Amino acid sequence: MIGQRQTLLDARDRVTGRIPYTINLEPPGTLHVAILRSTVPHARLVRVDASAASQLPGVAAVLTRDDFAGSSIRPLFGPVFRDQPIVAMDRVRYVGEPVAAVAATDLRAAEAALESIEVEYEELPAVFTPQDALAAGAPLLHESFDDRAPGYADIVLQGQGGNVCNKFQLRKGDGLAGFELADEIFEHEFSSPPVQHVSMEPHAAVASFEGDYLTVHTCTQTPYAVRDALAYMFRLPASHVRVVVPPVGGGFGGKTYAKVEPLAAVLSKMTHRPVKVHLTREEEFVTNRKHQAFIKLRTGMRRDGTIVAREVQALFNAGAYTDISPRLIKNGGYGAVGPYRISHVHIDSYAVFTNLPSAGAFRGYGVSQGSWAYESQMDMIAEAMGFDPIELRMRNLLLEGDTFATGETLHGIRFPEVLRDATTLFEAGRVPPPAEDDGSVKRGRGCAVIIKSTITPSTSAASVKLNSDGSLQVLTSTVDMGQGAHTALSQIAASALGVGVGSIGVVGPDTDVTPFDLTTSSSRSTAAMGAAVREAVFDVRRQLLDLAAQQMEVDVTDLELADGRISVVGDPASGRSIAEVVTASRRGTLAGNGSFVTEGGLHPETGQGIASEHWHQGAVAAEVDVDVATGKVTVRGLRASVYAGTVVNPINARMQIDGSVSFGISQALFEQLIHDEGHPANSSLSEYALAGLADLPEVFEVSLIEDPDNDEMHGLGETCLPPVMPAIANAVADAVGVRIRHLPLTAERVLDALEEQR
Amino acid sequence: MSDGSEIFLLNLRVNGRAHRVPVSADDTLLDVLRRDLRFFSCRETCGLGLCGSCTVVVDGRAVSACLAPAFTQDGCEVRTAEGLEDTDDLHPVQQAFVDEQAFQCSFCTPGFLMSTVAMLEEDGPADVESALTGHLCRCGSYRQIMAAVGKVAGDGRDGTGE
Amino acid sequence: MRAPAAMHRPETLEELLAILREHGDSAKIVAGGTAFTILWKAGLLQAEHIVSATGLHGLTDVRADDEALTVGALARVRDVERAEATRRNSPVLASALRLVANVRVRNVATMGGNVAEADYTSDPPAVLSALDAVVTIRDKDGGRDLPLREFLVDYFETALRPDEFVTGVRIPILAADWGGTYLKLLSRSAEDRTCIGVAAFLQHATDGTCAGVRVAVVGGNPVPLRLPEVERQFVGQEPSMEAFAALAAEYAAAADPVADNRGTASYRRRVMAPLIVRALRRAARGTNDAVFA
Repeated sequence: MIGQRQTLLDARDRVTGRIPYTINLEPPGTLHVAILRSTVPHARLVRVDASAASQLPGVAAVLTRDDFAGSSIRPLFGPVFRDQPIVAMDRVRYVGEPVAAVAATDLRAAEAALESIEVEYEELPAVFTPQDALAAGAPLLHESFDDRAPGYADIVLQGQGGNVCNKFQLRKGDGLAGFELADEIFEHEFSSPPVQHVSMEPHAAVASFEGDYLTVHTCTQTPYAVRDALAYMFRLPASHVRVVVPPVGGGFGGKTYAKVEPLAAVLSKMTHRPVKVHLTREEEFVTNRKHQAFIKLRTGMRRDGTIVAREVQALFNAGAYTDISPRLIKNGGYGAVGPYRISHVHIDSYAVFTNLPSAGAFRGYGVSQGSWAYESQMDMIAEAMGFDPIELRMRNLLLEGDTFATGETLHGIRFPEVLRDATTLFEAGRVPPPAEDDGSVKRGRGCAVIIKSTITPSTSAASVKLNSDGSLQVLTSTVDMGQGAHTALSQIAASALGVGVGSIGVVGPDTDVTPFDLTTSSSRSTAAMGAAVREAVFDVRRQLLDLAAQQMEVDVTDLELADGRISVVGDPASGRSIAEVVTASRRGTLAGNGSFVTEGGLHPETGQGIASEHWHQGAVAAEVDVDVATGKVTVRGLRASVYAGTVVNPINARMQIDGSVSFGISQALFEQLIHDEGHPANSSLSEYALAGLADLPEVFEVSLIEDPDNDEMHGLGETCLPPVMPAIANAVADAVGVRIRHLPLTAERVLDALEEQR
Repeated sequence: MSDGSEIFLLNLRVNGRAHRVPVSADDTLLDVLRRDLRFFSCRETCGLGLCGSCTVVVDGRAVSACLAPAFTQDGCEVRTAEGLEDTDDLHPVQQAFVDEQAFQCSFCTPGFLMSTVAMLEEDGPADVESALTGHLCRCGSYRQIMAAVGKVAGDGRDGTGE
Repeated sequence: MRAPAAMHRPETLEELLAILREHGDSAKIVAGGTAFTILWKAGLLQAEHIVSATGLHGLTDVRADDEALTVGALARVRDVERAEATRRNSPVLASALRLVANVRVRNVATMGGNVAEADYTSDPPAVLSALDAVVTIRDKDGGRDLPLREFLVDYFETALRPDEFVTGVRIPILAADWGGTYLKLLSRSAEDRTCIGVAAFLQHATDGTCAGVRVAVVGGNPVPLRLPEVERQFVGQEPSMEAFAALAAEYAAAADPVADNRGTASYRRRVMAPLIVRALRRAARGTNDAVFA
């Protein structure tokens, strides 16, 4: 039930290893796919010749651009602009872009055949940073933006031209004129590198065309978006495309929207056989990533410590294709205002095309990049003006009923409480002193607090079926990818019906069966899908009570439902079970429907409007040791605090925050995708460093701040990730007096800064 | 003695049952377990022996199946997570992982289980951190994992962070 | 595309040496397979014959006499680190082996494979080099012994001929008045490979000066960096911070670091000196262990 510790419903399958991930699926006759990828960052594709490869033993089909000539299949896809080809058409735009794909009876045969495909490139000049891409005379990645996908009407398209993929802007108060009210102005640039999701399970899909009916099993976070993309691609009604999502082995944003499904589906169409695509780890690194960002932040301060004006110039590196960049730079744009009351705001946020793999959704969704800038700068301002960094934040934090930069009035706001809670880490004696006693290890403390929106407008729908034995099935397109969504939804359903969790079953996602859901992302599912499930259960509950009233010949208002029994108020002995009522009704099953639809959107010029249905609030305090001989930073203590509203399942709520912190430490200290002229230089887990068990602090605390008077659920999947990076950087600055403005805080970067300081 | 051929008939036992699989020099134990024998608890994440997702127990020791050339495993006794439970009961390590909910997406779980089983059978409750170094959990369920392993190893660790 | 390779599983050393004599130029030996498999899967190795040493009987002993610890080439790293003979006679080596990779890798990786791989960031060669270890080598006609420092020629390159096979490593045992340590810097995550590793040993004379010192550094040079001349100059000096720093500076100056994702050449050179000083301080205290920096 809501608020109770509930072990995952399928825990047993998870510990026996029998849980059916997509990579396990292999229907009889399945073909396996190997992908030939571009070896150059930008080139005109002169020739692709697969004639030799297609004759090799075991090879069933080789897909190249030639297969689309005269075909009704649409070769381009993408959630906002359909600009991404299944295999390269006229040119390639990044190293690693699919150029051809072989489907063969076994993977080794497919891999072997790649070597027989001849490709001729005519290389073009390439750009790898947004700054270079915006420079005069920069080579253009795309000439037109005419194929907009119909979804996501709230995304405003503007600013396209040159290599600008999209622009978001916000003007509040007097905008830049507001800086005239400032006594001091601080201006700094901050950067975050591209990083990869590294879900343990790679992208995988099995597609099977039978006649003009396509079934795809895939580990996506967005089954309906994938269905709609495939229906458009193959000119099929949506009713002819079925997307089924098995349990997912980690998503973190990297599995939103179509990724490998189109390739599997086209090859299945060509061969009339099931086709499985299963990416290698190396391929994962060129498939999707977090946006690299460069953020210029100008902040106007009053002498008393009030922030009066903020200007944000953000450049997000979108890579070669649009993916979801237009939405991400919007959230990253207004998100860069931070959780502060600022009267005058001017934001320009750009997504810029470059010759790197496409960037997309990533846990934190643009907020990490922005908060890295504003929470780092907050400490820089505090130091320069002589304020305590916590008190400076407290003075400016948004409060209940305040107006955000978008003009919307904020409710359910707890920022001061969340920040105060996190900084209890600093109470004396909580974190043990440094171990090394030769004076080379310095201790420092830092904190950060962030605001994050949830995708708005959005839609979730759910159905429930009440069976004649009293058990209930929840039909949902929410994806279970480790966050425990199905378990939380079953708790919500059980509470709404007044039965135990044991009688709830969860079905889906299966777009043939389970109703529409926008996406499993944005920390939204427990709140949004939870509301839809609750409404669906109430729907069936109403029917149930009506039936019971007829059967018992009483007025429905006299009935109550508790502990699985329906009885007349004040007369428990009159009760009958849910099963008895359903059975007696001779309906077989009772079906209920529910939906949760939010409204919102921002004005294209002013950025004013409704950005988020509710706001995620999180803070992190960190204590670090810095070894001045090596520059190595070790996190010794960390407390993450989040406003949770009502917690559905404390186990999973807490574990998601553990996960966010582990992501955050990893990005603060280690993670970055490195390229050499567009060529990936660390596409393996040996060369790409990730935080492990021993990188977590020995003092590690998670605090879920609940509100017993408010049953609103707040998403928890991402909130405590963004503040980790600036909290650690602030602690490093506190320890050794150097300010690192570029993530990650590698040992070498810290050592360089220390030497510069000397 | 070998015959120097390009196909080797590998004999091995998995979870107590004998198997004979023709392998090439390109095949690893992971290929044999997943592709040929369908033991899907053995999973590849890094392919480099550093993430632990493909950990199985070979002749009593935890190994990375992705790094084991198949033909060198002739005559070996392999155990995977599928073989841990009895008909009705989970293995105590599995039960501890369920009790502590030591997973989120659980892709890494069988690897953690097999390393823990090997550690307990080899050394008894030994150095848990050392046994679990080289296991990645991208969901970051480490504290719950340590609590589960600590529970079966009997060191009373608390992973809740409360 | 690589042609299918022939697999060999000799059961005796003689069979193995015969195969190497016949096919050595186009053969690769695989023991634990940890390094081999990574390179093989990545297509970075070419070989027509793969010779597994796992079928051999023997060459797994770890034993000590008065002068040396002898480790068979096929002894698993994990067995060596846990062997009583290692822990008693070479505690720094035993501890350093515990910091290599992870349990799963150490369960199968062999000591012979470790030295023959000649990986510039591998930990054991630092300690073995500092201890003047000798590699024993066999071929069909006989064999030879090579000091590890002559055996390791360059970045991933040894003096081993194609028809030769490493059968073991002999590690001289230091007198009881030596103290030592192995200090391992991970510049990135706790799961990373070594950036810089320093093995340091120090012998105290009765008058408080240094009777001997050994320092070997991995990760900062194509092969373990050992400067016997510099070590000799140290003999007779007080074990002071100044003296440690002077020695460390000589090493840093002599190093020819390889840059990789764990640090630039400049970074490796800069951190080497303070790490050597730290290691020498621990060696002087006689910690006889291996720790992360």
